[in-house]
Amino acid sequence: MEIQGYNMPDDLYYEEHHFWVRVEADTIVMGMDDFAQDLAGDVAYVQLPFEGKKLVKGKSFARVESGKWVGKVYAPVNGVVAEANEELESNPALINEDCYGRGWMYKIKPNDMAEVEDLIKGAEAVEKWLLADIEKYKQE
Amino acid sequence: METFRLLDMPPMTAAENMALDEALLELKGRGETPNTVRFLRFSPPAVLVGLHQSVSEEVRTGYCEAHGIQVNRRITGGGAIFFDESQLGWEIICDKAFFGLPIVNAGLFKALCDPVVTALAGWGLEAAFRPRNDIEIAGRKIAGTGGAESEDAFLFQGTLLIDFQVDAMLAALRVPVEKLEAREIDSIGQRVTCLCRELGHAPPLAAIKEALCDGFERRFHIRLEPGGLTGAEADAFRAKLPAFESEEWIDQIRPKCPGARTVQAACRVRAGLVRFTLVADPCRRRLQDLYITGDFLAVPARGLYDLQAALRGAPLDREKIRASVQGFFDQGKLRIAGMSAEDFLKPLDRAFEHPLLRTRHGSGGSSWRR
Repeated sequence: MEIQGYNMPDDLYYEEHHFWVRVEADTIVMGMDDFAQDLAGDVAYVQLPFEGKKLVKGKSFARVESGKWVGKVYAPVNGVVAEANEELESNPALINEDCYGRGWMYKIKPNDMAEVEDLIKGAEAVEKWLLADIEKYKQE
Repeated sequence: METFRLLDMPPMTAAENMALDEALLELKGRGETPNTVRFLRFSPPAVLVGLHQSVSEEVRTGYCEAHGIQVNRRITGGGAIFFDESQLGWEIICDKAFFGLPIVNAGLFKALCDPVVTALAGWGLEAAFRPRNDIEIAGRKIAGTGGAESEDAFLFQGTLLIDFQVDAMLAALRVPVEKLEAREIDSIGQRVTCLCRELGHAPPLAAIKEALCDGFERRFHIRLEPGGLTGAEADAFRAKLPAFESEEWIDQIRPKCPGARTVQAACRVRAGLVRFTLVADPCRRRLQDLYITGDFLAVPARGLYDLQAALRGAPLDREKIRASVQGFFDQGKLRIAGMSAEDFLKPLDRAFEHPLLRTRHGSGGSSWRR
């Protein structure tokens, strides 16, 4: 679905800080959504946490730098890091170029897959949430 | 009206200032400390690299050691800076909720720079915020900023140039001066300005701080109340200091492949010579810096400074760089007498024919210590 120029695929879950989540068997894949990569601008660095790092839902677990700002990535679920996208180490711009594809960031093994259902999902909910954020972050 | 603490401690070492930044940000992130405006000064002088930069690529460590300049790593992003007594650092350590924006964005940067713009206006200076995060006067940068976040709080910091020692900066940082022509080195000085140059004198430090405080109070609708460190902050600061003094912190990022390379190309077109010097980081595919010089006439003059500022740190992608330059021409932000955008871009195209810029490096980047 496209919402005011932002590409927000219908089959994904979204975390409130604008990270997307896709379920793949017993793991989830996550990355920045189109709105977040647009707000961030050119991504300069992405931290790749080690495999097995424990994640607490809602808490930050990695850093991303863009526009001289060191931001945080928040865990969408409780779980452990299963894999980080090594390609981002040399080419963080993949997040800007293809945020849902080659710009994926982390794979996570959730403690309880049911937690993804707490994320934002479905055309109606996503649209309502995104439109509110577009309004909130509208530049003067 | 909310009260912020004003934290104005005596000059500190680089490690002390960095350790205090992290202590304040972490405690603020846990909601254990007040919203704060802080002034920073460094003694001895320091070179500070951005969180994700490598010291060996950015700093002339031999020169720094010989001249008593300390080297450290910020907790914020961005590029390496030289910080001596002719600069004043300012910081806002604050709940994200104060600005109502959980995700950091360009609008927030502008809001955070507003108090400093207001302070400069008090001296009659027409300063303005320049995206993403500089403050400029007539296109020349007078303050650069950066930031970091921790849970529900952020730290935003900037440096205001009171005076500017271009020679000391060039000696301490790995600006590729050997590769640059005299007028390109001049252009480094020209794209930056300072209070001394704008006002003809440097106001006393106390007056500068007072003007900034007034700017913060007016623009944020807050009241500043001078205060010291809380017990918890002092404890966290002491606990963190050894780590910030350690090589593990300062040398945390090591380059895996050769760093920045300089590529130059010049073309003579109808109205004059245009020369592009690209400082490229092929590993991370970034345009680290860019110097455009020549014997052409740019109108307005600031257009050239703004263009270079806009392209610094951009992806090393010819089409994207071309589009940015074209945009400046199309929007009337830059005109070159007797030249079209295509004419002006010829040296850029030629630079991209250089093998260094054509090769795509599949591996590289910096190594993370995890």
